[in-house]
Amino acid sequence: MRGLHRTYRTTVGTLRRRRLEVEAVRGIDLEIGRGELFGLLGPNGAGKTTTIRMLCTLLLPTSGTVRVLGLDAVTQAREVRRRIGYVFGGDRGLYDRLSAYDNLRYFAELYALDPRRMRARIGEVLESVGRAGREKERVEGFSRGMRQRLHLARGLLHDPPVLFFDEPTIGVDPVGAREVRQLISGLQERGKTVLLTTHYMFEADSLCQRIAVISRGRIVASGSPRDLKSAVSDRTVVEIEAYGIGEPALARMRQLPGVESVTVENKDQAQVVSVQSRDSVQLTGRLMELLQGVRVERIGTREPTLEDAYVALVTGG
Amino acid sequence: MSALAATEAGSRGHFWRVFLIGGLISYRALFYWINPWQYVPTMLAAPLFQILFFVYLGRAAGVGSTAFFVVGNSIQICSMSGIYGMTMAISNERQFQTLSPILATPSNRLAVFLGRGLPVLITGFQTTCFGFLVSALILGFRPAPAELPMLLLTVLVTAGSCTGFGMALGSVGLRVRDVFLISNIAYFAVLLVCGVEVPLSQLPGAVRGLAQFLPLTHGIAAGRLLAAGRGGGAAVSDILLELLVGCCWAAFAYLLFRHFERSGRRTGAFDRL
Ligand SMILES: Nc1ncnc2c1ncn2[C@@H]1O[C@H](COP(=O)(O)OP(=O)(O)O)[C@@H](O)[C@H]1O
Ligand SMILES: [Mg+2]
Repeated sequence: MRGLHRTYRTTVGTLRRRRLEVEAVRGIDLEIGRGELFGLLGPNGAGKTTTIRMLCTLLLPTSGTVRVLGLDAVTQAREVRRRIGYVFGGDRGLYDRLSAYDNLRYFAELYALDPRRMRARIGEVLESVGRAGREKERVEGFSRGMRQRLHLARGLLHDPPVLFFDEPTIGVDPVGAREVRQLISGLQERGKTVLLTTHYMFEADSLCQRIAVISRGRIVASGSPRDLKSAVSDRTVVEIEAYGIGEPALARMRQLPGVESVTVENKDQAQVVSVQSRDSVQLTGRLMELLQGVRVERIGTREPTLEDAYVALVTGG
Repeated sequence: MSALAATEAGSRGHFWRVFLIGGLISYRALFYWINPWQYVPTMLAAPLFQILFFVYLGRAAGVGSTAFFVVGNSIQICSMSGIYGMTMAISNERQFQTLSPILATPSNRLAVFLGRGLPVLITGFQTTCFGFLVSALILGFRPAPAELPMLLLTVLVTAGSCTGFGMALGSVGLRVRDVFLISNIAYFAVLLVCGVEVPLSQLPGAVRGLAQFLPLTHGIAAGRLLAAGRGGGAAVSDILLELLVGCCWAAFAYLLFRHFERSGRRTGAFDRL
């Protein structure tokens, strides 16, 4: 309402969380604008959940400050809690023995919703996540996707201006995940500020205007998906589809001059090896030499994608 | 702030709604023995057999009166709900990983915490009443009708103090895995220590001292005075002591919960339940 509250600032400055010598988050500075859909992208163990939990007032920073809508998440925790929704992935976090309606009802009470509007509001959020009509069923029998949508509904109950999603599509089947993503992007259209963590490249790419890549507790890059791609625009990627490439051969690939990173993915029985390098002119030839005696289905060069940028960033390339 | 929140999360209306409605919902969510298939055997049948077992054992061995065992066991069986039920109603949050979402709300913590106690207390009260009723029907237990209101009050207070004690176990269960091992020990310890089957006077001094701080001890003492027709006046001090013990346990349990909440925020212990 006042000028002060109009800037939404999230500054997680120089945090240090030490536990068992684990520094989960090591100095993150971030500012997310109001109405933005921001992606925090990083591999498992990068410190995404730790960061989100600090923002949600569930975890204190070892040092640094966390502000949400100008409010301090440490000292004004209760004020912050009123204004945020917290949604995490995974199939826990709901009362299995209760119906979807009762799960939401409990949280409606905890968020002190207007008792006269409670029923209607629960209906609305269930509707918005496409769960209307089945609210009397026990959560026990719900699929992962249904649970995730119920999680989402819970995060929306009190209509918070800021929402935090921690890997919301983890373990959800592709169709369900797509619906969850649609719901999240719909929130932005309704003016919500959203911070989303994910380890899926394409998810961040398709949803977020801005992304920060987090690796080992530090932001290693941030910007729009396009910015991140341009960081690797001087590279090319050689992709090889082959059968039976051993570890020693991969190790030797990594040693080749100009090679930034080598990653392997298994596709059916074949391996797809992506080799990123700054100098591709002689690379294909050198790779073929290394791969003598291996059955190579296909070899080709392509432009780097956001995924390659991400791989390069988190592997320190 | 949300336009939907009509009542302030700090207001009295919020407190009572979370305490009563929230408490009932979470009880249904977390108390395992709520469906008849579990409720009847665990909350009615097993306690009943416990009463019968000790009454007949007492008769066979020629020790204690029927009233001694009926009162002791009928009152003690409310701890089935108080001890196990309350442990579940708090520490099962762990299993569902619902603690984080709850702590992320601005809700009144005292209401969240204590609200879980009321349905457990009522369940325990029912169990004991059932115990007395069946004892009256098949064991010939006949308390003086004039003492009944005070006896009911005693039962209510004792069910409450067991609930307070169970709350402490529930809080511990938020931190400690396998808290039910402790609850098991607690259930059988009170059977021995609190004068349920063995008169306090026959226990070693240290144990007798310990019993003063546990639920049931004073409640059972009051119950026996009332059953013996000694009048409400004689039982009052014991009832008040039982109430005090229960309140202390509940207060301790709540402080422990808040301590875990705070230290959890500091150390991240709740992330990895
Ligand atoms: N409660 C905790 N106690 C100790 N270490 C933790 C705790 N939570 C996370 N960690 C560690 O901190 C690091 C970052 O974890 P996390 O924030 O969960 O990463 P992400 O969500 O990106 O997968 C990991 O090494 C993890 O093992
Ligand atoms: Mg995580």
